[in-house]
This record gives sequence, structure tokens and C-alpha cells, in this order.
Amino acid sequence: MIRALTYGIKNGIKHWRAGLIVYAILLSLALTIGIQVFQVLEASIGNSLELEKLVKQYDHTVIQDFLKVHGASLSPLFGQLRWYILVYLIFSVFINAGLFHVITNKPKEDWTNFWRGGARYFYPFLKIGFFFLLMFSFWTGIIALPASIYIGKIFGKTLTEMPMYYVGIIAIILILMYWMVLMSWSINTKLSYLQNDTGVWSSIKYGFKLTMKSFVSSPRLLFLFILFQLIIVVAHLSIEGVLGMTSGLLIAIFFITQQLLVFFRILWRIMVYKGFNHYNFDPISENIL
Amino acid sequence: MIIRILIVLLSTCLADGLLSQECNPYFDKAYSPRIANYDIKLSLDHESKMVDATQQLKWINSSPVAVDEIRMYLYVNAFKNTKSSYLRDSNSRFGNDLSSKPAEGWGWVDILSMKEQRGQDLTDKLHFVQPDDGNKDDQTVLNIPLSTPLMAGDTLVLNLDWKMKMPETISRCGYSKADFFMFSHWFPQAGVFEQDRAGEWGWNCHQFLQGTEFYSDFGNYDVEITASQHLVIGGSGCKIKEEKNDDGTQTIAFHIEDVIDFAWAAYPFFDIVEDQWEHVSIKLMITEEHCMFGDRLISAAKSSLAWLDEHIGPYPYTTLTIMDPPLHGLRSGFMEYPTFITGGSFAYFPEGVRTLEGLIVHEFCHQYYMGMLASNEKEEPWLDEGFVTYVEGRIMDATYGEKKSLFDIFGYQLGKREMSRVEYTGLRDPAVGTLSRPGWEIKQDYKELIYRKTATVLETLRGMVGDLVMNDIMKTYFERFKFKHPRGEDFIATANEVVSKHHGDKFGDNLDWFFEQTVYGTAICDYAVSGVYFSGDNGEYGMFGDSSQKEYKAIDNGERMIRVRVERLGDMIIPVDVKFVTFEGEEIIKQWDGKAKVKYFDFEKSQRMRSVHIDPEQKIYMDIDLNNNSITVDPERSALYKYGAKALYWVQNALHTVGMFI
Repeated sequence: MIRALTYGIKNGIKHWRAGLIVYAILLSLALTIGIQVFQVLEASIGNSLELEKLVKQYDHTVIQDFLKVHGASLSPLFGQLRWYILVYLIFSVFINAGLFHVITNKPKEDWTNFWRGGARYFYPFLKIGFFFLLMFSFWTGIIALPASIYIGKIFGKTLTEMPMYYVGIIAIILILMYWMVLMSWSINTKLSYLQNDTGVWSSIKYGFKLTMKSFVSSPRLLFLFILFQLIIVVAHLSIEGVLGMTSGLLIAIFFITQQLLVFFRILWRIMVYKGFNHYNFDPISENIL
Repeated sequence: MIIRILIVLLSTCLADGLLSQECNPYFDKAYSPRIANYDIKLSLDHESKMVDATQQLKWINSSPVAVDEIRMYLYVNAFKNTKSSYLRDSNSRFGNDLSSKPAEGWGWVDILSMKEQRGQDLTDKLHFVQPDDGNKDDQTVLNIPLSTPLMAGDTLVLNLDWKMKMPETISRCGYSKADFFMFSHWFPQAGVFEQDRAGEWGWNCHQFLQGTEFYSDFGNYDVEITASQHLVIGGSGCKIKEEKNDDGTQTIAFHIEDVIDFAWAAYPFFDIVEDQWEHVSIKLMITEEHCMFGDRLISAAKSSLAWLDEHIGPYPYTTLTIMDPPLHGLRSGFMEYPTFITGGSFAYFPEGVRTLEGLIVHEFCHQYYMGMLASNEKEEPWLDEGFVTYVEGRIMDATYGEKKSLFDIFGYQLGKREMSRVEYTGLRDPAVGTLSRPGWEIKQDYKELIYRKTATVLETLRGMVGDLVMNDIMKTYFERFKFKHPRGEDFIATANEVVSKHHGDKFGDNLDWFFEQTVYGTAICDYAVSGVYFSGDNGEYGMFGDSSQKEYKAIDNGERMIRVRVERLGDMIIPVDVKFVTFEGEEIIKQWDGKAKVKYFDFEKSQRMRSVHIDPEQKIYMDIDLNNNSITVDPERSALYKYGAKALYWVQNALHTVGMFI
């Protein structure tokens, strides 16, 4: 497993071109929202001296006064967000298809393979994606709903709040474990579709078989990747917490850092796919790439 | 770190503070007129939730007129059924579903007998009255006609036998699981015989209505409790007797002087943490799962004691008991009684969320506003909750830091005072009602008005007159009216006098104009800078010359001026400072009486205006939009870039994460 992890990291980086494409897509999508927020802020309180307080630290008074008076300007933006997320979900199927395609091919051909894979596998991946989205929602509900109902029912009725905490923590752990298994299944299914060239249902079944075969190790591999990523994100938040974005220079430095982190998260996703491909599919042919 | 976590998880409440000294409840001199004095002996049957009590009330007629009847509160009868005025038209109270409440969940108090020491049995003459709403089913005020009038200066001694069924916890009073009991508003208590605003003497003894809590006379209390030995008992005042009885019960007696009420609580699973602040023994009754908060709660209490002692006046009592209820008894929390306050906590509450501390500070401040300055909370709740919220904000900000006293977690910061302001200014309609009206009349936005608006009004007053003078106002008010029943006009008269002493006629003859708008009116304050521009039309601008010799010119003949436009958007009028800063760094402060709807300030064109700021020190805290108080023609864009960058980062991350699930 550690071999798969290191393999994923080492070889995932080679697909930086695909990472760059996804980064550009995410950036342009996020900018459509970001620019509007910026414009609303600028038009409403852009000339107020109070704005300077926000550079030093979060200021609840400034934010609340802004929301109270100009909150309505943001409402259309929230209206847009619903459609935005829906469209993005469909678009992310294309991104996934492109990424899976590139990791099973040579890194140097990423520029073309990403778009080719996105187009070629869009519909089968849409079906797979829809299936797993339902699985995520349904099973999360199956765990979370009874847990929250139970917590609601016992609120104030037990001698201490500890049983509530225990139920809540167990539910969260179960949900996270379940997500990890499901995510492993989802990755194995997509890889299976690409590697075995079978139908969607056969891939889902084969992906399930693979995941069950490595019931502990696949999610564990995913967990290691997540841990690796978490360490970097927490490090960033801690540094930002200490230094703060309190001057033009620091804002620029942290903006670049944040964007590098976004790019890293995309690379990390490629590394995960690469590691899984190596672990569950043809590790010999992987070495050739 | 792991060891620390283990210690927290496994420890019981180990007191690491000083052990409290034996407390002495007896004052050398009486602080109050001691009009209503109680001696209560009761036994609690924790299984049936029944209380049997004998009570002696010594009541002094301090009025100049004869009194021919006594009125007493029987608060517990509010929880008898849904016909009481307190519960009428309610399906639930404090999250209590009344329709599913079992028979044993209701509470009541019955007077079995009442005798005057002069010999007469008054039991047959007792009857309920409903002075507020005429609801004949309400039994929260008892009228006791005396056999012979009680003359001015005479003392009446009444001996009562009564029986009470404790309700399932509702509005603090009652029992919960595992023998948790909170005794608040629990015993037959005399109302206040006083002069009304028209000068007529009579009883001020309102029915128990929603939005009302305290109004009673000062006196001494002796309360002797007999209850099962498995209960840990704490209450107002000092424990002066503790005995174990052969029948498995214990008898505990408390004594306290110069207070307006007495409350106590019992629970088998309380740990006691003791500490000391100067002459005050602090006792924390806390359950094991909340032990981790011991230091936080006691430290908050000590900060309050120190701040109030310095800024308002001394706390004369020798005890303070804090009861932190278990989760199932939470409805008994968040409340104040003389020398006894109740908190409300949840295990593992993070340190950066200081609502626990805020609660202790708030409830402790009630020892002053309601406890010693015993205003009529039922009729003028702003003098109680509002003043407490103001002082709480000052203590919290002084102790835990301005703008971060309430929350300081993950970069999110919020101060107690600013929270009060934004809750008031954030009202859908900040002009929804006046402050000076009875609690039962306020049907909506009670907290935002009575607590938050009052605090913001007092902050504004502080901003106007300055810290020194505000502290003097609060100190003088306390010194003059402690152990009395001050009214709103008493505070206003005190404020007028103190401000006049310090500031002369700077604010006019008095501050009535301020209180008329803020306490008795619903005026909204909103001042704004609406423009900085050139004014005047004497100049030549455009293209001059012929053919290729055309030249752009902007010729100023020297008569143009820089003009600043400010506006009063609200209906409140208050004098404000306006600060002008030029590009050359020159600062000009001008006073504006704030009366005109639109006002212009003109400057020479050489005074290139960089920024204009109305009320730059934010003294007028009531202004509902502080962002429009300033304009700069050279704005600092960093904040926009900062939040733009952050928004971009989190949207990118959210999109990326969502994509992983499909």
C-alpha cells in the first residue's frame, strides 16, 4: 500500500498538465462568483473608511452593517448559485472522465487526452456519477437521519449530554468511513470501466468486488492520501492564522499560496487515481507509463 | 496534550482555587429598610415532589397610611394549568410541550392556614385577585384582608402553613430527572406596598405574566430545609446549620439579609468547587461532566466582582453561589437570584466561545440591577435586563478584549458590546417599540429591545459624555438608590445632574431630549456622508484653440470650492463630530448639531479632501449603519482583495470537493 501511495505521488505529479487544465476551469468558474462579490462590495462600501478595519481582522460590525443594508444585493447571487452548482456537477463528470483518461495514458499527452477522455467517457461517467451521488446521499441519510432523530429525542432526557455526543461522534465516524469505502468503490468502478472496457453496470459490480476484496486497504490508502492533504491545508491555515492577510504584500503572498494549494489539491486527486490504478489494476503496465 | 485531555476526561471537580472561608451572613448594620422578613421551615419529599412548609412573614408598614389588606405572590400557581394568565394561549413554554405534560408535571401551592400573630385566623378570608387582566382562573396573587388595619410603622406577623407540589421544570422552577430540583419563585411572597406615580398608596403586586420576573421588598430570610441526605443543596446566603437526621434526611439552614428573594437548588450529582474573592465565598455547584468549566466560570465571577466593585459599588454579601445545571435541568438555568445565580453549559464548549462566561457575568450583574437596585422589573424591565446587558458588555470587553470578548475562534471574533448593538440594529424594524413599558406588553423582540437596545442607548450616552462621567452616573445612581426601588425617572434625573456637574450646559439644560428619543421614543439614528465634490460653476473646461492647435483646459477661476454633503437619514437628532482629512494630512473636526436633513460643509479648493467621517470615534453607538458614516476618495482596496481572494479560494475548494463525490 505504501508503494501505491508513493507511486501515486511520484507519478501523479507527472500529470501536472492535466492538473493545470482543471485548475484553469475551476478558477474561471470561481471567478464568475468572486468578481460579482467583489463588485457588490466595491459598489456598496468600497468608499467607506470602515473597510480598512477588515484588512487587520474580521470585523463583525462592518460585515453585519453591510449585510443589513446591502444584503439584498447578494440575494441574486445566491439564486444563481443553485443553478451554478447543478451545472458544475454535470461539468465535473466531464472533468472526472478527462482525469481518469489521462492517468491511464502518457503524461505528455495530457493536453489532448484530457479533452478526448472527457468527451469520450462523459455519458458512461454521468451514469456512474449519478449512481454514486445517489449512494452517497441515500446511505448518508440512512446513518445521519436516525442519529439526528435519536439525538433530538434524547436531548435533555439523559442525565448528561455525553450519550448525545457519543451518538454524534459514532455517526460522524460511520459516515466518514462509509464515504471512504464508497469513494474507493467509485474510483475502482471508473478505473474498471476504462481498463476493462465493459459496460457501466459490469464496472460498478467489478468495482464493488475490487473494493470488497481490499475492503480495509483501499479506504486506508484513500485515508493516507487525505491525511497527506490535510497536513498541508492545516499548515496553511495555521500560518495564515499567525501572519494574517493584513497588508498588501501578505495578501499577495497568501493569494499565491492559496492558489498553489488549489492546484495541489487537483494534483492530489490525480495522485489518488494513479495510486488506485497501480494498486488494483495493472501495476506492471503502470510502470511503463 | 494527551495527558491533559485524560485529566480533563477523568477528573472530578477538583477545586484548585482557594477554599472559601466560613461565611458570616450577619451585617453589622441594616442596608435596607427590611420590610418583608421571612422565616421558612420546609420538608421536601423528593419522591412525590411535595413540599410541606411553615412560614412566618414579618411585614412592616413603612407607609404613612393604614393597611387593611396584604397581597402575596403565589407564583407556582402559574404552573397549575393552562388557564393561568402565564400559560393561557400557550402550547409550550421554554420548549415544554404543555399538551403532553402528565398530571404529575403540573405544580401548585395551597395555603392550608394563615394566622395573624395578633390571634386572628385569616384562612377563610383568603381569596385570589387578578389586578392585571381579570382572569378569574389565575391564582398567582393572594389577597389577605386583615381583621384590623395595620397602622403606619406597625409590624404584622403572619404564620402560614402551606403545601406545594413542584412542577416539572418550567420557567426555571421545578424538578427534572434524578431528583434535580430548582426552587425559584417558590414561596408565598409579599408584594410591594408603595406610592404609585399619581401619589396614591397601594399594593404593587402583579399577577405572574409572561415577560415579568421580580418585584418585592427587601428583608431578611431564614430558610430551613429538611430533605433526603442524598441531595446536595445550595442556596442564597450562608449555610448556618447542617445536620444529619436519623430518618435518612438532613436539615440545612440558610440565612441572608437585605435581599428581595431567596432561591435554592438540590441534586444528588453536584460537585462543589469553592473559591474566595476578597470577602466573598464563591461556591460552584456543578456536575461532573461540566467540571472542565470550573475555572472559567469562577474566573468570570471574580472579574465581575472586581469590575463592579470598582465601577459601580461594593458587593456587600459574603457569598455567591453559582449553580450550573445538568443538561436535563437546563430550563432551570440562565437566571439570577440574590447571591445565587444559575448558568447553562454543555460539555466540551470551546474556550474561544465565551457565552458561558458571558452568562455568569450577566447573571452576576443582576446582583446590582434587580438585587440591590430593586427596580420594578415587571413594569420597567429596561432598568434591569438592559442595564445588566450594558454592564455585562463592559465587563466582558474589559476582561476578554474588545471586539473578541464573546467569540474568538478560527479567526472569527465578536465582542459582547458589538453583539448587543448588531442585535438591536439588525431588528427588522428597530423602531418596533419604546423601552419604557411593562414587560407583559412586549409581545415581540423582547430581548433585542429590552436587553440590546437599552445597552446600546447607554453605550451611546457613555460615548457622548465620556467614560469618566458615565462611571460617575452609574456610581451615583447605585449609591443613591441601592436597597430601594428606583424608577426610570430616578436614573434620568441622576444622569442629568451628573452630566450637568461635569459638562455644564454642553448638552443643553439637561439630557431629556436624549431619553425622550431613546427610552420613551422609537427614534432611529442614522447619519451618512453622501458626497464629496467640487462646487461652483465659475470656470472654463473643454477643448480650446483651432484645428490642430486644440488643447484641453480646465481653467479654474479660483471660486470653486470643495463641498461635503452629509445627511440625517433617521429621525433621531443628536450632535455629532465630523472629521475631515485632506490629502496633505490636515485634520479638521467640526461639530454638527445633527438637526438638518441635509447639511453642506464647504472648503477652499486647496483643501483637497481625502476623507470625511461622521462620528469618527463611534461615540454614537446607536447609529444603525456605521459603514455609511464615512467616505474616502482614496479607498483602501486591500480588504476587497483580501475577501475576494478568500472567497475565490473557498469556492474553488468547494467545487473541487463536490466533484470528488460524483
